[in-house]
Amino acid sequence: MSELSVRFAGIPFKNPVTVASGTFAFGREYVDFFDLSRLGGIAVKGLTYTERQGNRPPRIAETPMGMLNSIGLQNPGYRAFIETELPWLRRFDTVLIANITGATPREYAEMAEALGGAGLDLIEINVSCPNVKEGGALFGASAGGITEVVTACRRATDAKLMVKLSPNVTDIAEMAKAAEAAGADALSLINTLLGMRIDIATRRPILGNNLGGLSGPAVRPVAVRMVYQVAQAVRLPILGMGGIATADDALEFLLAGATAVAVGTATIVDPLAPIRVLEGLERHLHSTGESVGDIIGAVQMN
Amino acid sequence: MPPILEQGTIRRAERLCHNVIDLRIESPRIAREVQPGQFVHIKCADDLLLRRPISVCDVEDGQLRLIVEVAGAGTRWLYGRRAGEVLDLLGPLGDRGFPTPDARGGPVLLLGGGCGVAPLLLAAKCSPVAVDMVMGFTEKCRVIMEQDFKSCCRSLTVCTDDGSYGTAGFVSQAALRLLEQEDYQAVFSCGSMAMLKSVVQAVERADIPCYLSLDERMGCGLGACLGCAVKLRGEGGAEHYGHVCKQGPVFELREVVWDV
Ligand SMILES: Cc1cc2nc3c(=O)[nH]c(=O)nc-3n(C[C@H](O)[C@H](O)[C@H](O)COP(=O)(O)OP(=O)(O)OC[C@H]3O[C@@H](n4cnc5c(N)ncnc54)[C@H](O)[C@@H]3O)c2cc1C
Ligand SMILES: Cc1cc2nc3c(=O)[nH]c(=O)nc-3n(C[C@H](O)[C@H](O)[C@H](O)COP(=O)(O)O)c2cc1C
Repeated sequence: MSELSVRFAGIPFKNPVTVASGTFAFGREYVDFFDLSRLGGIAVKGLTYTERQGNRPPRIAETPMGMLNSIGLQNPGYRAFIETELPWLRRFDTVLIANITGATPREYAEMAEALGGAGLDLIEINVSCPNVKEGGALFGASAGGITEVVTACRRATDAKLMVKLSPNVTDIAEMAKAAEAAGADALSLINTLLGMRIDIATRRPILGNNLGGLSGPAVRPVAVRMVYQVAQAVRLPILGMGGIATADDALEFLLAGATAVAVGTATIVDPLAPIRVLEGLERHLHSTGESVGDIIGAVQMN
Repeated sequence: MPPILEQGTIRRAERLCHNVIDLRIESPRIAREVQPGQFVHIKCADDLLLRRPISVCDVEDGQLRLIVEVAGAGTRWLYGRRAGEVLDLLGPLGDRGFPTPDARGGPVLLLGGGCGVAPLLLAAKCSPVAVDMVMGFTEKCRVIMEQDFKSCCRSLTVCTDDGSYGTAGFVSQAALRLLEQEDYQAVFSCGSMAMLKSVVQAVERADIPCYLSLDERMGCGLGACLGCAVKLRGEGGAEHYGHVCKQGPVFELREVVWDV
């Protein structure tokens, strides 16, 4: 094993750098920039039971070192993904992560079963999309809701399940424990923080959907804190994300207790961001003579 | 044509009027590929997260020409750039720019408002048929690029809202007069949403194709984040969201669903 490789929920990753759901579509837009096989993993755009058109524009508003989005899970539906996107994605030597949002536990379970059956390595259960009424945020907002969804998925498939936690809760560690108890194999965090911007000239919200999810460097300290708290509370491996743009950012998440990381908004700005994070990490490990495993959870509290 | 990341050196930075700058940027790889109507996505100040989309106005000797009007923090930063400085560019973007007119067809009518005249210059230069240009500005001191268009268009009409220069009135009014006199094969237009809507009203009656360059708040510029949504009418009339950065930025007016 190279110094970069990690095992995550029993799955070997060649390196801990993945791309976050919704910021990489199904990968096609990025093959012009780098070989997708260099990534540790790819989380595809959030899938729903049937096709969704997404929310009315504007869907993006910039904020101080961040952005609000209210895309609203525009996607072709999970069946179309399996038929048209998955065969293409399989040519890359990287861990493929499905990302699913259902309106009911039953929809989640059916999607998890089908995607597990289709050979997806890891299924990310999104119970935290703030932009859609049935975006799962309702489930992700309570331990009971998480238990319900994860239990249904666990019964439906043997595939590895990763629960994507919302930061829009009072106690994220409690949500993590509920996911662990219900049989999750891993956790990913954080999804976006619910936010709002108002155009002072028109006195209306900038986003067509009024509210949106905040991401980018602005959310990073919140994300690092939450990864740390969750790592203290459960034994599950964590995929950490929220504002990662450089290798130093990624190292913070690893130190806080993440086993792997995802680059999201940074890729929207710079298509090469995931590769820059990866190469920076490689250089860092080379210079300290450590492997990724030596860094995970190595933060020493004051 | 796959998009390219390129560091472009500014060769010339000329202020055309208050808050409008004309930039010539050495960017040979992007310049070689760019088509009329396409844009580049520019990283602005370090503390501004997202790139800003700017249409390519012209290409010459490996240089991109961009016209930028201050609208906020990012464009203000671009307005402050000087020759010798380097810009982080992503482009050329947009699968669909202005189409190439049919060489055997009638002339093309170009309608531009404010900075929206910029992308029409490359379209005019690349046209195999005669082009008539109508450009509109709020007032005399905002008029830009008059000479550029004069040298490549069959006719040029400059309008000002307040009548302080050229023809008084809006672009759409001048367009209506021209549409009555001439059998155009198509209309190309770019400008503010208010201007585009008046153009749409003027051209809808004429029953000729009208291609509009649209504006929407944009993320990646590549079609991945699905941010810059625009409502379109597909075959059979079903409505769906397309994306300005990928399917556009130029759309035929009848495929766009104009929400009021
Ligand atoms: C395809 C395309 C081509 C364009 N070509 C030109 C051009 O040639 N010359 C020119 O001067 N301007 C052009 N624009 C408009 C230009 O991109 C915006 O004025 C600019 O993004 C505003 O950024 P800002 O930081 O100055 O304003 P801010 O209001 O501070 O920007 C905040 C955020 O909102 C976005 N935003 C604000 N207004 C607009 C807008 N009208 N359109 C799109 N995004 C907006 C910004 O990109 C940024 O993400 C073009 C827009 C598009 C979509
Ligand atoms: C434009 C955009 C679309 C997103 N779509 C999804 C999605 O479909 N499913 C999901 O679980 N998370 C989605 N997210 C959240 C990201 O995966 C990630 O959790 C969040 O943005 C924080 O990471 P970042 O700051 O690196 O972007 C989206 C984020 C953005 C910016």
